[in-house]
Amino acid sequence: MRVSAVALAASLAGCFATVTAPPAGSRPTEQAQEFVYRDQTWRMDSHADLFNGNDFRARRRAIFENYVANSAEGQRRAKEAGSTVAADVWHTLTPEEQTTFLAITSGLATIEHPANKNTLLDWIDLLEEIRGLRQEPDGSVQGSHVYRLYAKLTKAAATLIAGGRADFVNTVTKKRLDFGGLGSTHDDYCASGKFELQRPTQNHPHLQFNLTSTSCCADIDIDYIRPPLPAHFRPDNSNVLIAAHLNTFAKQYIRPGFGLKP
Amino acid sequence: MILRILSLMCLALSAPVVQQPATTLSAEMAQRLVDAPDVKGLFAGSQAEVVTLLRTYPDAARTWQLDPQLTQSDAIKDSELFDYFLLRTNAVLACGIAMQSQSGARKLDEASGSVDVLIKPLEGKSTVGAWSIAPACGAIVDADGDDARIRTRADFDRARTLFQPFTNSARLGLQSMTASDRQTAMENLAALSRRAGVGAGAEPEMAKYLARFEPAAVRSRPFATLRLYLATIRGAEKAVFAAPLNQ
Repeated sequence: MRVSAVALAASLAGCFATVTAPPAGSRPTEQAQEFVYRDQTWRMDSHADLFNGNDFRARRRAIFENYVANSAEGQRRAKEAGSTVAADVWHTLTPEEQTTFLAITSGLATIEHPANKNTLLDWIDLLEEIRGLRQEPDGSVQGSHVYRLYAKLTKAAATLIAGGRADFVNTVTKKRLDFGGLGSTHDDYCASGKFELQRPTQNHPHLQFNLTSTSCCADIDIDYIRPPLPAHFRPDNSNVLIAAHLNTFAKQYIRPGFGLKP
Repeated sequence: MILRILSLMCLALSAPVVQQPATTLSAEMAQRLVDAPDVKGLFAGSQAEVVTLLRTYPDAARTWQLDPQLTQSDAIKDSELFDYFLLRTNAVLACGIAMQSQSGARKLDEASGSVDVLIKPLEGKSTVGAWSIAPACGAIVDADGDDARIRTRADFDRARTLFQPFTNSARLGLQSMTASDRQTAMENLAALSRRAGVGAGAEPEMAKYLARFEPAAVRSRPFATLRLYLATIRGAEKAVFAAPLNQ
């Protein structure tokens, strides 16, 4: 989906002009942070609360550390941050990038394979890109290119998804669910052309994988607006930093580590 | 005839948004939707392909919330399965039109994104037990708002009951529009299709499941609030499946 340059300029101005960076000074990993996004004040847990713990947060931390160490984008961010410490790189991400990462990783951690208790978060082999709102080189914004993670999945995960027969449990709602979806319309970030498959989980809001099974390359996002509502085709469809979206997220998934300030 | 209807549909909905007299393809297309050949006419010669996909391609069954184990059983006749597909497909299309009529079918302004104001969600007006229809008619949802799954013959009957009156009310909404409003509505829906990407995409996976029909190719393209799947079989292109427009 493409949005005109005029509309985009207005939209971007509306977004970024209202994002207030965390205050400089004290080491930001030690305390919760507040930021303003589109005239609303949000609160994000401390870095320690987001990444430390014996639960899914340990896996989340490992994924982010691997991203900083081994992905091209993570290495570039580390270079720009002047540090290879994952916590330092984390604080160079925009609020949209941070919350996209946190929401998707929480969502993936919520969906469990009943047989082995692995979650979909275990499927990520290497996180390669974290996308917030991003313009294309021509100034447009494509809805299928924003608010998502690009990742290489494990071979076993790609095979399972491609097989299209999966039976999972949502550990928050306690419901069983599987995948739906026909062919993908999203651009494959690893190759020219489209991804081979599209697999949304059959809950709402749903996690959606667009995947090429041979390369294991995938884009993962969360669709907050049901198709074929027009808003589904707008970039904000996958943006969790909208109060209504976060509310629906909270009914399905583990708390991501941020929310509107009470 | 089917090919002609399809050509008119695709041409009308992929055309640039420009002011046109009421006698143009857009108006003709809108008239066809009112007169009801629409989805049923489009798929009139495609029952074998549609049923094959629903019975053998699990993702095609899931698209319309059918559990593949159910469609692979003999609990549902081919004709019933095909009618269910037509009912759901028609509901998505009619609902897209009805969303337009609710808003007065004003011409959208793509630059400002006002399509979201003009095409408002049409809330489900039909419930059966805990099931209801999601806004825009793309899904049946349970009491929690999650997608329902049709696992049994009883579920199947419940789903058909759910959609029957809703589809009729959507049609009435369309029929109440003036020809001019109808044209604007169709143009707005064409703009929605463009948002989803007008270009036709190859569908090799679907072609695999249609192999016994020996399709030369299977491609998909947006059409209003639907994604149509078109196959070239024995030199002629025909519609072989549809799904709610998605991204």
